[in-house]
Amino acid sequence: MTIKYILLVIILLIILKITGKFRSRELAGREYLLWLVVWVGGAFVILRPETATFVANLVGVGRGTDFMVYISVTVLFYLVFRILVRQEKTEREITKIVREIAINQSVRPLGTNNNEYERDTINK
Amino acid sequence: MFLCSSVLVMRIYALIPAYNEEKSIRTVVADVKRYVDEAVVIDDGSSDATSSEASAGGAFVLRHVVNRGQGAALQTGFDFVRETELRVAPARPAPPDAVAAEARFRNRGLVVVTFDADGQFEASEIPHLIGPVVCGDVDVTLGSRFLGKSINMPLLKRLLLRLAVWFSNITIGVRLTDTHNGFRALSASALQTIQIIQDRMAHGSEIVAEIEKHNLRYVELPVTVRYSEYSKAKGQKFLDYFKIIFDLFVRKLVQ
Repeated sequence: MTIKYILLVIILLIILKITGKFRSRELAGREYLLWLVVWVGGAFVILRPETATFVANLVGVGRGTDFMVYISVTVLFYLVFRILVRQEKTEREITKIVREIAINQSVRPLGTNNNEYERDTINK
Repeated sequence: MFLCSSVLVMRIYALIPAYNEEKSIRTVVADVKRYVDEAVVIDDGSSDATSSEASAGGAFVLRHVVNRGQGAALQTGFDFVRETELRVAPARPAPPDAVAAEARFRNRGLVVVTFDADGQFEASEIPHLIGPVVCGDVDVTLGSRFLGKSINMPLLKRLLLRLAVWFSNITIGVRLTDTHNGFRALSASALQTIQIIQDRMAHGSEIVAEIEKHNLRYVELPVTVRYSEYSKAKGQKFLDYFKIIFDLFVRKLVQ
């Protein structure tokens, strides 16, 4: 029984924290709403476990907790996938920047009417 | 030197990506310079004296401020050659006659050799490797240590490389004997078409995939790869091979 209340307190603290982030503009409105729904939903399911069982039976799964686990794991996998994809994009952008610096620092300006290009300090 | 007669006035570039190779880079540059017009070293964020050693050896140096990987370094080299030869930056506004300029570039007497910085390759094999490109027979020449010679190659590395080659031959339509060999020659056309997006070691497979995708003409030629204590110590970690195979696998899945 006590676990329930500990979890509820934690969730309350989390809700307070993300509200704070929203207020201070660190968190976008849409995202805030999404996470709010998640945490309030979580609190709701903890308070009234029957909800989970009800929905679980709707979709043909035996126990409410099992259902929660299935949903959570699926969502987590999806989120992680999104993060990895985003990270890959970021890596490519970093490379583009590093490349631009490398080429810019060595050739300037790009000659229009002459064949010589100025060399930088490395290439004197 | 070349077997064909219709040789344009050729500019030969050597691109040497390097990461912490201060001990070998100077000799490598000196050797390579004997066979090319311009040696370009791309220093991939080295923490040692690679840049200054390369410069001292007479190479033109490009420097990545942070380490991005050999694939990224090569592509930087490609972009650099394109910019200096084309006189236009890819990302910047193109000149009014961009299409014509690009066409001129493609037909230009230009060949780019990629060469490793650790001293495993023989610079004297450069003329042999660029031959087919210079004569206009192919767009890409790929060096193969299995067609040529591999001296003192660690057994495990040989096995893993064979495995990677086998896997590459299955997943990509281009049949090769050595898919991860840094000794290559490219024509201006290949330079314009190939785009390396894989920053790290999977770029070898990516080049092969690009050859297939753009139907580039290619040929594999024997080269000598010499393993010394120095280069063996610096060699790819075995984990990288599994990463390469994994990347190939994912690429096939995604297609």
